[in-house]
Amino acid sequence: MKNRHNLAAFLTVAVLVCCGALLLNQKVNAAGEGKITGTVKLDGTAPHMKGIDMSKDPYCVKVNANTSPHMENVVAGSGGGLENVVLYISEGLSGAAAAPATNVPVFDQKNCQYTPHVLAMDVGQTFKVTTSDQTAHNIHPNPNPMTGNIPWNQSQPPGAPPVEKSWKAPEMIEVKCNIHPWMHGWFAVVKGPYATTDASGNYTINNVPPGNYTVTAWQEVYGTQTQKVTVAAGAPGKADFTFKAK
Amino acid sequence: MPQWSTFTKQQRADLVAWVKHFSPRFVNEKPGTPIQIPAEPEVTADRIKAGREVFARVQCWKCHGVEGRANGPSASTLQDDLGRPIQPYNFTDGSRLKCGSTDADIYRIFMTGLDGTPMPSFADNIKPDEAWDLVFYLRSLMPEASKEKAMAKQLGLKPVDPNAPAGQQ
Repeated sequence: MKNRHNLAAFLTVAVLVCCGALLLNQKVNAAGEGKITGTVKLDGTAPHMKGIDMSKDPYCVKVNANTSPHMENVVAGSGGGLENVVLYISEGLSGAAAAPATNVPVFDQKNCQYTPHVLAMDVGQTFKVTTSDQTAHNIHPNPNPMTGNIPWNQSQPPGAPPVEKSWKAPEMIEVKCNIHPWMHGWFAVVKGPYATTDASGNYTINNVPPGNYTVTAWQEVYGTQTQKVTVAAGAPGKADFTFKAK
Repeated sequence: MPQWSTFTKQQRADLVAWVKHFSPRFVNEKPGTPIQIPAEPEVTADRIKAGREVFARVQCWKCHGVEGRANGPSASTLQDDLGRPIQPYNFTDGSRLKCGSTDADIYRIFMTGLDGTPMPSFADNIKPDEAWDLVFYLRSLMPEASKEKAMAKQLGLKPVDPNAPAGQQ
């Protein structure tokens, strides 16, 4: 009799422990698995992006001999997808979820243009500026110092080592090169998980704990739009955006 | 901006305090770490030649021009941080240096850059010893008679060649 009771007790405890572990596992996975996906499109004809005359720097002309570089303020694909749109969570994040991402995004100067055109990052996240060009650049972000972000301006001659920096406050910061006046890009500094749309206008924001959020989409010409979204374990939030061409 | 050297010390202190009250930045931001300027070495022909190599390597000529005449290929499109046209410094016409005219002042300005302008910091790209070489070369571009100018003339130094491959000036 006693043995059966002991066995039953043992089995009960074992089952409870296993269930508990499964539940805990699910909770941990859910915190990592949550995501928000979507597509950002442009409604209407994309504005014409001017071709760039790089003749002031023969190196830039040479490395672009087989391409025709254009301004990149609005980059829309054939299906109307908008590239370089930054998506981030503007409401609903709290505590640990808002800790800065730990990867090091890279902003490269290549063939006398910025790649990517928009570099998204968290407040406090280290990022790198590199140069792949054999002509001197200077990297000159121009934040509004009232935000707490201090402007800086560093040269990067050929062969220069990467510049590593971070920002103190959320802000969309314009970046330019004074030597090559057509070079223009952005550091999009946000809080919490973020994503940037690809050439088809698609994005996925990872590492979003289950919850209710407001997602903001930012495009440098068209500004911002917001949407409310709910993320659950195994059920990503979905938010599509459409900006209207002016 | 004229000079106001007629102020008393107290007037100057009072004025500084008043100017600082215009922006919270003076309260919220700490000053940066001052750069260390090593002791100035003797001017030598080798140093002036090395300074000319630095001028070519980090491509000062893109804005300042190969003779320092402020006519480099990027000079005409330069803008300050407010989007207004701005000229690079012209080493050849005797204009006043913005941040002081000693050798150490020149050293400091290209190592820190000049806020609000296109002039970047070269601190990550020019070693302290090379920086003195560049100062001496820059002096040789200026109109005032100097040891550097005389030496450069003796050496028959030509302006840098923007098209020369790296390290082959």
